[in-house]
Amino acid sequence: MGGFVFRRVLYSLIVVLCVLFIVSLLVRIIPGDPVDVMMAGNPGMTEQDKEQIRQQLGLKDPVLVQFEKYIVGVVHGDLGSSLRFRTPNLGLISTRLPATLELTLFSMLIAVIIAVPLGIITALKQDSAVDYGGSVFALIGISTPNFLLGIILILVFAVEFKVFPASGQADPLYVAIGKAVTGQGLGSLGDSLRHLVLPSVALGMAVAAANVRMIRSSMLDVIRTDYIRFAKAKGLPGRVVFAKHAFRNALIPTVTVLGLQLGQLLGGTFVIETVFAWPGIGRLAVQAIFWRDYPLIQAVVLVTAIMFVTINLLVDIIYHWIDPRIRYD
Amino acid sequence: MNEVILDIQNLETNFVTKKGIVRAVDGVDLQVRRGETLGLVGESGCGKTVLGLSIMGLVDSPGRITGGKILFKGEDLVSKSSEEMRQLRGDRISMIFQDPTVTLNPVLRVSQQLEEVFRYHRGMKGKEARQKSLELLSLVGIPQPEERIDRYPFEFSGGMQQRVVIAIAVALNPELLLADEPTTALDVTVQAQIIKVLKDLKQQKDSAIILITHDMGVVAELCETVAVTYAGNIIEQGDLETILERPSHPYTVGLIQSIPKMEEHGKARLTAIPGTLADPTEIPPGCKFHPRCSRAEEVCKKTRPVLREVSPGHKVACHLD
Repeated sequence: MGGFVFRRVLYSLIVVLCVLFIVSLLVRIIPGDPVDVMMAGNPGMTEQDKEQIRQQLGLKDPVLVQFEKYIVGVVHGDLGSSLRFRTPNLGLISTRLPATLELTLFSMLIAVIIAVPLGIITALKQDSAVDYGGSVFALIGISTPNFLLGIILILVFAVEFKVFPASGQADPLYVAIGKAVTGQGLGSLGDSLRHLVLPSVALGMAVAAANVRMIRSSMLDVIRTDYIRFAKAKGLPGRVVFAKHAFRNALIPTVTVLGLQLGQLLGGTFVIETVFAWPGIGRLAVQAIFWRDYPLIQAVVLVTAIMFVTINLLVDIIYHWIDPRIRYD
Repeated sequence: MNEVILDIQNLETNFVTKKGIVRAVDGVDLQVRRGETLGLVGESGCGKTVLGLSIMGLVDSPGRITGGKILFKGEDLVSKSSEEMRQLRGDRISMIFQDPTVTLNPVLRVSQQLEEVFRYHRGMKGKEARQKSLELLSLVGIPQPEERIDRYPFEFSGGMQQRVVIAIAVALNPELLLADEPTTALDVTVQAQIIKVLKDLKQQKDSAIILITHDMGVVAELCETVAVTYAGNIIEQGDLETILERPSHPYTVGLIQSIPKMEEHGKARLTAIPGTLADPTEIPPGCKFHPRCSRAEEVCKKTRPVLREVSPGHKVACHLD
């Protein structure tokens, strides 16, 4: 197991390095020049001045040299400085990261809360009205782009019915929970949750819909297996057959894709944070792309890639617990 | 003779499919006595397993028991509630399935799967259930049970898994044990071991056993009586010797002739029964076997024969002789 974790961490590092290299190439292919964008408000700037700035920022170096400098910095804990903000990227990202994590995890929570019961019910009531309803929900959920769903949710629940705020974040969730626990009232927590609902639903709906289908089909497979029949033949109560024998087996395929789905949600935050003006790294990344802020783009991608491979590593370890047949040698 | 503990009367189990109604069990009459081992034989698809599942109350939708009675020590199982049946299953009636590699839950330890029988039927917990489970594993011939009990099923061989399944099935000394092709999925050498386990259990416990199989060799090893099924009916029933030596129904005769014999190796071709089992949605009128029967007469095409006693303990459903 230790050897497995070590190997997986090593592979993960290689993955992160490859991602970084590809991104540093890609951002330079995007038309537009960062110095032009930076100096857009300075009409007195001559082409010579701009050239000098490019020199100072190292933008005239070959891409490989820039990349090498960057990696050396990263290893020393320096993610570079934003061209736009003139401050270290690490600070910019770490102030925004909690908001993104909060949104991603809450979306996953909502997706699971919707998908697990719905998946089970549609399987147990196969070919009933509930089952068909679940299928329609899943089809719509999977086919609707999240930005469209976000805008529809804003129009319906924020503009028309005014039940949820249209955009922004209240207190970060951990701060709000802290306040609730230390007896400063539940108002802050309620407000935070109210702000979270619309973006989380918009972000998590596709994952929820996909999981409904997956849980349904694996549940249908499992309840037809011989070991479920044998569990019944042993005279176990129905709830034990279901909870102990069927549910865990039915969950295996879903856990398998959960890591990938968290990655999908992380990617989705780029769009959803923009739609809902959510102050996370997704929105920061989109802004950085518009500003041609190469170091900032790279830093955000680095952090996102690290999160993605870490999640997948964790899922691999959880597999072993849920399905002991999986061996890592 | 021992008392009759299972008395099946005119049992019918149907499956409603898109092609029509499949009468998997079509008016079966069968008696089993305490301590008796009955071989239920017939080719694949003739309703043997469905009969077993009907007794267990485990026929899955779209299947349903549509008629008849299953009297277990005088109580009709067909009219019992699902909770009453649950309490009976695994305790007084239990069942072993064909393929041990898919019968045990892959993600639960053997100990968990054994101990829960004691837990949910006897309210035993912890050490007591574990002690009982260890004893059972020894009983079915699993060496070093202490070391193996906490392993997962996939860490056992097929034969060892079937021993575990048998241990679970006999854990609470059931009065009736249904064994559905318990050796079919196993290697020949392992088959012999499992047959020995069942033989030993027969001597130690007082359970009646219904052995569902298509293997006459297994029947000859284990059973005292034999019931032959064809297309959802019992067509002949009698003690082992009568059925093997003096079969009366043409189907039984064909079934026994189709067993390969060592001494005839190379000399005689294996005799097979012509044709295949009738399409379950298009059962022929009259005797169901008549299209495949070499001795079929006019009466066989029109009237369905009933099971009648031709000599003491020997019943046949055939118009001939």
